[in-house]
Amino acid sequence: MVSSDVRRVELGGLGTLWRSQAAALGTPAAVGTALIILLTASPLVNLLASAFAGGSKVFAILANSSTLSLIARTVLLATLATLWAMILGLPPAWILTRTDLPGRRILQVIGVLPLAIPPYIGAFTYITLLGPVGWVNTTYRAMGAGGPIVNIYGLWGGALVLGLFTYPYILLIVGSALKGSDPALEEAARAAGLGPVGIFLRVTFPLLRPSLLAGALLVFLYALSDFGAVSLLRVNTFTTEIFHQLNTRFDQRNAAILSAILILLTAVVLIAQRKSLGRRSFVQRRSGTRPPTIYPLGRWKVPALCCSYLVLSGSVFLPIALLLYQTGSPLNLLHTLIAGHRYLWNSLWTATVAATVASGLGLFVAYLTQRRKGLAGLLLTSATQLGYAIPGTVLGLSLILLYNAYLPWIYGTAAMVILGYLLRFLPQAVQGSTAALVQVNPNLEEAARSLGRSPWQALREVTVPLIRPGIAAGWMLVFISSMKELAATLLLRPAGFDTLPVRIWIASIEVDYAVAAATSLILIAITALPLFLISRLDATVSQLD
Amino acid sequence: MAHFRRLVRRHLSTRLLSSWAFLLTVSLLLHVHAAASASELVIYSGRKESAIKPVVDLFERQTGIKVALKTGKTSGLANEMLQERGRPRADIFIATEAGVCEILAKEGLLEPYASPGARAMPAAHKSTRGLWTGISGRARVIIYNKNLVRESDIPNSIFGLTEAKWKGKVAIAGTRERTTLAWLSALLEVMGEAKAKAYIDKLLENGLKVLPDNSDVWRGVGSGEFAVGLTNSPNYHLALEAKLPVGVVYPDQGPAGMGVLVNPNAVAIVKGAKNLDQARRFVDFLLSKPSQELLVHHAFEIPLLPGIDPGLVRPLAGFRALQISQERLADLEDKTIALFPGL
Amino acid sequence: MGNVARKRIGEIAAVGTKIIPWEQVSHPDGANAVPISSPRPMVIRLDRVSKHYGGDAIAAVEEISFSVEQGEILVLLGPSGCGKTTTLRLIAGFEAPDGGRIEIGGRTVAHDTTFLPPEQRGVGMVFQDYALFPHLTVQENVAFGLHHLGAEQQRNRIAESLDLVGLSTLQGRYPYELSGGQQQRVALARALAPGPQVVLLDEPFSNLDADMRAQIREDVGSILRQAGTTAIFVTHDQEEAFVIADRVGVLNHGRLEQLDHSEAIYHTPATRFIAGFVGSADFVPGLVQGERIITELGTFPNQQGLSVGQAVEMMIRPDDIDLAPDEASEATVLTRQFRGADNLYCVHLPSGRKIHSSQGSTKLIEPGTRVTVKANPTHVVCFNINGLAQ
Repeated sequence: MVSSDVRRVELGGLGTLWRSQAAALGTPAAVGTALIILLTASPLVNLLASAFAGGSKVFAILANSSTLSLIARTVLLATLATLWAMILGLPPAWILTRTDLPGRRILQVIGVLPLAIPPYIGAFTYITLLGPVGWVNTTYRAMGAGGPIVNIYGLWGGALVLGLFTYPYILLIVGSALKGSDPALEEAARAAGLGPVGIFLRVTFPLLRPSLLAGALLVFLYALSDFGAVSLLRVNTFTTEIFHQLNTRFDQRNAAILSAILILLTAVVLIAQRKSLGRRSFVQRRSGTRPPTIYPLGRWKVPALCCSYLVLSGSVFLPIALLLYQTGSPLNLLHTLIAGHRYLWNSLWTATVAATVASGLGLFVAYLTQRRKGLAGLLLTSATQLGYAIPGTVLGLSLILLYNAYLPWIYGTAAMVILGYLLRFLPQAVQGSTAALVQVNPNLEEAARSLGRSPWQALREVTVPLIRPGIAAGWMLVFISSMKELAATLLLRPAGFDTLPVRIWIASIEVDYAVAAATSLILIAITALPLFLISRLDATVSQLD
Repeated sequence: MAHFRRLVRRHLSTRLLSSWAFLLTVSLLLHVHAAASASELVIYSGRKESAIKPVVDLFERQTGIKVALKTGKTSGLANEMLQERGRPRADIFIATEAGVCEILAKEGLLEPYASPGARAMPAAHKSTRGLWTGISGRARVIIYNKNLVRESDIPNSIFGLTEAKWKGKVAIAGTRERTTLAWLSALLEVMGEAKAKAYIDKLLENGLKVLPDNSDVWRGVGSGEFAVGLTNSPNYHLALEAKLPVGVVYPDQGPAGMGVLVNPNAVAIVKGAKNLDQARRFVDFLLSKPSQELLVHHAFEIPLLPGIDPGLVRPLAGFRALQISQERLADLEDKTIALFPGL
Repeated sequence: MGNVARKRIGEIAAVGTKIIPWEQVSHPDGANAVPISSPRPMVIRLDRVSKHYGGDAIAAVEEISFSVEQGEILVLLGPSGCGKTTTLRLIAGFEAPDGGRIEIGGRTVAHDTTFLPPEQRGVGMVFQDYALFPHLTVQENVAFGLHHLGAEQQRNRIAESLDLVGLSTLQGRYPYELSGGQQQRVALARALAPGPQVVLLDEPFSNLDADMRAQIREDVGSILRQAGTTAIFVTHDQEEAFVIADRVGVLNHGRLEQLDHSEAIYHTPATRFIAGFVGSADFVPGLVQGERIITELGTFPNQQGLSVGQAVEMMIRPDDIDLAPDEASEATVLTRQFRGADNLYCVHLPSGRKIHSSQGSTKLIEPGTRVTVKANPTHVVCFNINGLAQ
């Protein structure tokens, strides 16, 4: 006897896929998947199409020597920045997690703060310090010594600044691995007679290689796609060249072609990153029950403290101090705040909307990939990761090309800015939900279903309450990243709609340092709080951008 | 960590979150709708904000018309306008030189308007077809750091800057600045292709520093990073205002000299502008006395209309200007770009 | 434990389906229930159910058929990977079969194009790790399946269920505050509260400490019998299966090899696999000669009616073998393992074969001693070389 309300499911193809999984969300999920893939992939596809519409011109540009030197310079910059970030990040990672350095817990928290300072703000502060007419040089000249001894402009300066403000990625990822590693291996090495240095070289470091590689690739990708800092520091990389093309020529195809090359570069790096990680997450859960060995520093305590504080000074204390100085007085700060309250509101509003929409989509994608291991999940993951690989400038350009042509009623509104944030930072929201979701036993949802709940109800009543902190963490990640975003916003913003980063940028370009500094302080103040909150959670900070 | 989790669980119920998300999405949709039917006057300005904002603010105060201002690089904004050709977003386009307006005019993007204020504008500084009008001008001059260089050392002609003694000491803004582009096109016109290319190549060999922006040039000269800079006349006054030790020389003034290029800032109405009336009023306002005086006294631009007090600025009558038509500059642009990739 | 008399346990009113009220009859003796001989309705019926993974490559479940009577406790026993959990999930509705038919309460829930999702099947489930909702209290957990009832009814139902499992005082606690055994019982109460047609339990005792296991097992068994609920257990622990089950089904590589009472499984296993899996067994080759089977341990009656001349393997359990020291014998004791309750001896037979014998705790025979080996199996079970019982 078959009652009328037994669901009939079609056999074959997608139907069999759903049926065999037996926990189908059905058509809404399929539609949602298609929409998300369309949303994330279409700008890129359109960009590549318009790039290659040039035909033979593409190869002409590719073979052009200036393009080749551009590739070389960009890759060199990224490599140097990565090396510098590793030098800055690795020792503190070990010192703060494996030694008895006093105050190391506080240092661990402060160590994350550079991520609240976007590299373009960092660049601007270091220009005032180490630029040709910066403090150092003016003081040096005042002492009668002659020409400038240091010039932050250029490739080396760019690498310095980029590495300085991205080392927390290394610090966090490697630190997390160090925290969670099993002490048994090191104890075995000690039993075999190795000293601390030997243990580090022969046991600890090889085990760290995966997380070190993960962090390094993250920094490399970041340096490859950065725009604000490199442009302020007058390094000619792909992103600045694309921006230049958009502002000089009347044919966007050049920019599109350069963008395509840059995407290829980032794709190569991203594939290498994924391959090196396999299916592992960034953060390793603690495997054993014993905490890892703590090494006493003894007479190395002072040098270690100096080293840590030196790094923190360069990346946190010094820039903030400079910004405070440049602002002049609290009155200036207040004045900037009042005069620019509209920009503050724009920033907050777009970041909030982007974070909220991203969280919703992120939950959807995370749920589908975790609970439904199939083609749909794989496609979704790849599609959402796309935005991560596309630099802000390129994303902005591709969105402009696409939406102006096909969806003009969205084009030219602030929705474009929100869309840019959404596509670029969706992976972070997915990561937040995924990290939380993997810790939820899938049996819980099945238990809920056996007690009479539909899959949707089970999700709402059981899963979501349990992963709310993960969703919240993902929300904050997207919020912070959107607040800091410059390159895409510059291209996408409609008339009269500037965000805080844009104002900082304009002020830096027009050398209105007081306004730039004051606005920077406001921005940092807003992003520091959620950053601080998230750093108290593990597992998600590695995806900060 | 655990505390945070508990905090989140207690206060952020799913219902609260979803209603909040719903509200935000609604606000987003409302915004999109509002943007579509906005009655703000949208101005794309290649002239930087510090120069143009006072004028815009005055306009808003006097007429009550709200303005949405987007500043950027002139070429970039022109690019955007070309992109938006089918559904123009901008009502007004302000450019840092007029060649770009001619290019846009050729593309059919501009709306003709003969403002009463433009009647007094010299013919050289407005479109023959009424598609754009000059507002005020800027001259290509040489500024120098008084502490490093004496005025007598500065060559009379820009060609003198190729001498060895200026090695590594000269700065200029690159072609992202349209005034540089126009200047190069003028060189091409006056000297011919071969000589112009030779000159620029020599300058580059001599260590010419190409900077992204004119602000970098005058700041750099003012601070002593460079001895000499090729830039626009208002920057000299800005440097003085910033209490920097700079001087200015108007080169090529001799009887055989080619003169100094004057780039008029131009304003044009975009074809298909949503707020045509308001756009027209804005053009009138730009050419009116209060606005002109703001531009001259605040932004140190050269008045092109008669009857405006030049104040600190050397007026048109005070120097010899290079004679060239804006259409010609526009025609030369492609060649210029191709010939001078180094800038 | 509560004393549940004849009463309506519950009504299932899943979304969109008709209400199917049904009654449970409790056993007057409570915990020591014996299956009633008169036929009772079949609550679960599987008919040639199959499930493949990876196309046709891996057969998780291969043509399984069985039925479960109302009030019966069936245990599916087998090693890991044998398909018992998959079978359970097929019944629950978390997987869909590739072939065959599944009926619950007389209604087809899975067959060809028909598929009823889990929330509509009225099947309770207790998971191996209990799967209690960590963000809800014990009370809220148990109430989870009762959302269709009024507040008053819910409270009564919760009280009844918790009373049944003996945890009435722990209503306000959270799962992390409970011990493993307590969580186990809450999970059971939660599954029973809505009055499901059948409760499925997936290795429910494997997460408990060994010393608790026996007690909890007994408790759960009596709870189920008191409630008169039909239940299907899944386990790899043979002792557990025998203690709790009315009938035991042994699965191997996705096939149901035998479904019978515990005694029958132990004494007369249907396949060689079962013989080896359930209890310890040695296999001695033998030859059928009419009424007798000849082995090196002696001759035994041909109870299975095997054909003459057939080569078979006879199953012999350690408790079937008796040892006596005898200098004249050629069999020697190889090792002795003291296991507390008994001694397990490994004996080397003249043929070179080794067999095991379980002797009393105090009966000590030194390794190396020559012994006579006497086999006294209560049932003679032989397998042909294919491993099947004849």
